[in-house]
Amino acid sequence: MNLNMSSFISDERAFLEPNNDIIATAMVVIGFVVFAAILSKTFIAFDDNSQALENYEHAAMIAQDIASYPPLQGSRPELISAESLDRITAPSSNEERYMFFQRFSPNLNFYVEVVTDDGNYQWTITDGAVSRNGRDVIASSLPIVIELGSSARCVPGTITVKIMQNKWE
Amino acid sequence: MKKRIEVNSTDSSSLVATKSLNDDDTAWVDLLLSKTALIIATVVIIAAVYHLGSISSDMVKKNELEVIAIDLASNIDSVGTVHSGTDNAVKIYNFDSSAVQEIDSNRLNISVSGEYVSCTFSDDGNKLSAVRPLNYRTLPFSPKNLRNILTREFSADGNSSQPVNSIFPYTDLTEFLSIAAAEELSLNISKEVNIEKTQVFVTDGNEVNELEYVLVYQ
Repeated sequence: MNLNMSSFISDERAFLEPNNDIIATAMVVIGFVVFAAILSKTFIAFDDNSQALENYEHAAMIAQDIASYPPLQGSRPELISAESLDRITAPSSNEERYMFFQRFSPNLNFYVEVVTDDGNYQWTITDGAVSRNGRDVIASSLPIVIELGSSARCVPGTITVKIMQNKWE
Repeated sequence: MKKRIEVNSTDSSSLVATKSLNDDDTAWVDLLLSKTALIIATVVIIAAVYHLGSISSDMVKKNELEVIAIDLASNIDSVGTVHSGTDNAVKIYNFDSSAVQEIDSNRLNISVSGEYVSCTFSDDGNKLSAVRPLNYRTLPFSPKNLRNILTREFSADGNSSQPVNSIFPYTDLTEFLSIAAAEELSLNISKEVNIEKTQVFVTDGNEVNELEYVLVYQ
């Protein structure tokens, strides 16, 4: 090893010497390629994140809208009535569900889940046209208060809006 | 036979040439080759850097377009979240002139249809655009225009006093409106945009329902 090293150093044939500039250029090119790769990777990550944030904001806006949807309100505003949730999720009330989803653009594919925090009750409002297979889900949740029955017993709960979107590849 | 000799002679002459090339110590070819390679590589690198610069200036412009599109779309959506029966269902939107810096607002084309907001900018040949979908049902009509269209098609203007006759799920009405709304409305950036929530009342004979729409007009 030692011998090899010394033979390398004391080698005076100058194999690489005339091509020094080519080696330098190669190093510059490699440096530039690495720089461009890092730059594009950072940009792609930034783009992904900003898209995810934008989608999330849509979902949050819809969740807020649904939490204040008048037909779901209980005895006081800001309270979601379990009774009206039962009514809107009943299989027979197509018309009410239609009115619920009518305001939103038909391009928007989403469903709404309402659960009480103790997990005893759960409602899913869907217009039936939502397929989940192999699609991206964007979800946003909002804490709400659910009024159970007419006894004005209130329990904390969560409203979750899940938007389905085709995978972005 | 003669031919073969000729071949041999060229062979030997090329051998001589190779030999003289091998024995040549002036290394002119080496120098020329390496310098040519150097010049080509430099040109390629400079072109790449310049291209990166032009891409980044395009990206700044594209960002501005996206800001305009997102701002308008989110304003339209925020009117969509207003529930019927509450106030402030009307909003006057002004384009933010400070958002337009790199791009020439005269060559900026903003349009809105029932499904999306689109911003396009053409700048000597290359066209940039930003499109944002709308989350609420939107119609690019003024209230008067909408009532006229409804009266023409259904002979009822859809107000609470004159609901449109349609049977659940009101496909004829919604399909008609979404087809009518597919046409883009071009917006003038220097004028204000009115965004308004409106209801179209429908009845199947014994029950009246309201369908909610957002209107965008200038």
